[in-house]
Amino acid sequence: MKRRTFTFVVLALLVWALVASLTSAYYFYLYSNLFQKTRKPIIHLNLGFNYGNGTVQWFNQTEARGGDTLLDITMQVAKVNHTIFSYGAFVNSINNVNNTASKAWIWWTWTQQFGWSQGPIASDRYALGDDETAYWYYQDVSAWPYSTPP
Amino acid sequence: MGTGLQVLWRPPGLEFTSLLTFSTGVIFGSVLGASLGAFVMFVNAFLSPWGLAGLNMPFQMLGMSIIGTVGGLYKMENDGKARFHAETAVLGAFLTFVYYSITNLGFAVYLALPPSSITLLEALVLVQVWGAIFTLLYTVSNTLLFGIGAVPIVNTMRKLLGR
Repeated sequence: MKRRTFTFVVLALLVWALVASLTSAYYFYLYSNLFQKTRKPIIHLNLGFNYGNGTVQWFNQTEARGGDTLLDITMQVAKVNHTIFSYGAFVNSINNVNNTASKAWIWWTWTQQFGWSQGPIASDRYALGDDETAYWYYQDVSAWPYSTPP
Repeated sequence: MGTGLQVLWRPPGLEFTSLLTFSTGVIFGSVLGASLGAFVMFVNAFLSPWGLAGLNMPFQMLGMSIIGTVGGLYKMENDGKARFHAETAVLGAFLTFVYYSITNLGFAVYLALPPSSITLLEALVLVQVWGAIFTLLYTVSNTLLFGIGAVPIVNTMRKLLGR
């Protein structure tokens, strides 16, 4: 085998191995995370809303079923308008506060380890766990990274 | 054209900038390829249909300039042999993986900023895993795009330029 051909074969195998390993790790992470969150039939969590004008509402120890998504639980306590896209639900308004060109409802979770983390996926794809804290923040989205909740 | 294509709306998992930057590198050399890659990502940082790049901009510029540089280093003769299609497909996959690893580093830096208590290395591993599906999507699409498109683009541009 010529050296050039050998180099490209090695490169192809290297990319395949790395991408396959990362994809496996991703699904293992999803599985472990979902398994952890759906072990209890009833969960209690904290859900907050920040309207971006100084008004903050908290629903502490809200009861929900294990496996309920953030959108399910948000709709239990607030009036939500959303649109379903291929990537999941896009929240247009909460309690009649509508997204604009520069402001939108972004969700965050709180952990001791990371502090505030922006939701990585659509709210209807994210199952909340027992004692988890989720927060809807009506915030400026004209520049990335978005500012963390106050 | 590369800049225009980058800032137009496109479906997730598909982008043409890497292919055009790579092809520019093959024809005009590493310096111009790298410069185009960095310029496109600089403009993209402000006009992208997916929002502002912010802190990730320098990482995107670095990643795309590497694609242009490798294009300049790649030796593709004018005969259009089938092996060039295979080689560019492999390079498309490799360079896309490198690009996403670098831009993921940008997200990891952001994730590791205070008040986060995790280290940059931990953040990098997490971000690589969280972003695995995007990396997979773009790696597959760019393998096909480079494998099918790089040879005809380079040959056509060479003919037009009389090289």
